[in-house]
Amino acid sequence: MTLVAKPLCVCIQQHGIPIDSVTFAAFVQFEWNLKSEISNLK
Amino acid sequence: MPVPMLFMALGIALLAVDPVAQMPRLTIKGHTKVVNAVDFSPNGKLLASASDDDTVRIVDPTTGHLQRTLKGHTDSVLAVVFSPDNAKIATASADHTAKVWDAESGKLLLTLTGHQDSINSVKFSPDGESIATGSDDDTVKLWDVSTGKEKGELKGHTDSVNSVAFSPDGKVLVSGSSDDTVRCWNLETRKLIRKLKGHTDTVNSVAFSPDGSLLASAGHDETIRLWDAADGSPDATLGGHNGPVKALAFSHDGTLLATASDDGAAKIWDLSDNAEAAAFQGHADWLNDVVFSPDDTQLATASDDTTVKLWIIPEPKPAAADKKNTPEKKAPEKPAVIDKKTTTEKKPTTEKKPKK
Repeated sequence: MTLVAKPLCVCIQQHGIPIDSVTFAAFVQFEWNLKSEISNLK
Repeated sequence: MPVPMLFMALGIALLAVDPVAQMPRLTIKGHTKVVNAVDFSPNGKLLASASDDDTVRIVDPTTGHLQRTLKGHTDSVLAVVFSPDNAKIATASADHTAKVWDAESGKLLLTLTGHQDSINSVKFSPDGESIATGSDDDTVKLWDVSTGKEKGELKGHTDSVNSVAFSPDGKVLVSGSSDDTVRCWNLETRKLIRKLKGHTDTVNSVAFSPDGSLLASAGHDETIRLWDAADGSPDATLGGHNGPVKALAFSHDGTLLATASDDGAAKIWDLSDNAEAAAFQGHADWLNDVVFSPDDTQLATASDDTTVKLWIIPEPKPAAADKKNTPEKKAPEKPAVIDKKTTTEKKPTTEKKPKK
């Protein structure tokens, strides 16, 4: 079984959590970089 | 707690309370890792998906039932495409090869070797006789489908080539690269026709409109850009995604453009006014690819969440409907569409996408 942790930015989009788009975009970028780093470590 | 663990814990916690408000028509599971690409056969009978689990799964798009699995690549499969006559499937992999398979039997027909790094994109020419591949070795290569021999190389990009596309008449090839440019190549002379500059970060995906008049490119800078294919002049910039735009596809009637992003959403844009017409959300992770079904009634999306989802496209807006010649198009049974939930202020992307 593969456990998939949903990125916070995806959750924010899907729940319609009110957040300004600049902060949201920063979330996406940060999580993307984080995921890339984790992927590179594998 | 380390930062990655914190984010995983928070993500899982939010996942647990997700009310599952939006449902796609079908979620296709089976891959054990990230799904990088998806494509319908031109006759609509098969759907192929390519994954980091090194396989390609072929399913019936009506039921999602597995028909066969293509095994042979020794690393992530990054792209998959059907030939125009439905008979063959081409795949591109991080193992530095592209492969051609018999779509009916799943038998491996050819292995294309020559690239020096991962191959990110593969496309058949409109006549089905050639294949183009784009690679992390910064080149585009052209291959003879009947022999598997390399028959040309297009050099000029200064970073990874992430996407390639043939013009509908097969005379021009367009490529998108991590050097932030889109380049158009004359396939007779193998010379560069023009370089399209505008994106401020990696170009992830490129496509020609079905009539060949428009070029579209999707970037890590969160924008989609439309270009006049005849002269390369910028036509429009579409903003609305809040993350890197990973893939795009024109509908077969040319009235709509679909895009997929790391913000977790796929969107449809009405090309009559370049306005966002619909958004599709439901994947639990970033999206990697999007494609229209041959009859333009469904979208297929591929995601890091290891699934492929099929979505019913809602009835087109009046402007788009006027341009369509398909009055018999079926009404959607269960649209999985939501309204926009975030504003469209833009923030320039400041960090460079790392090379794979």
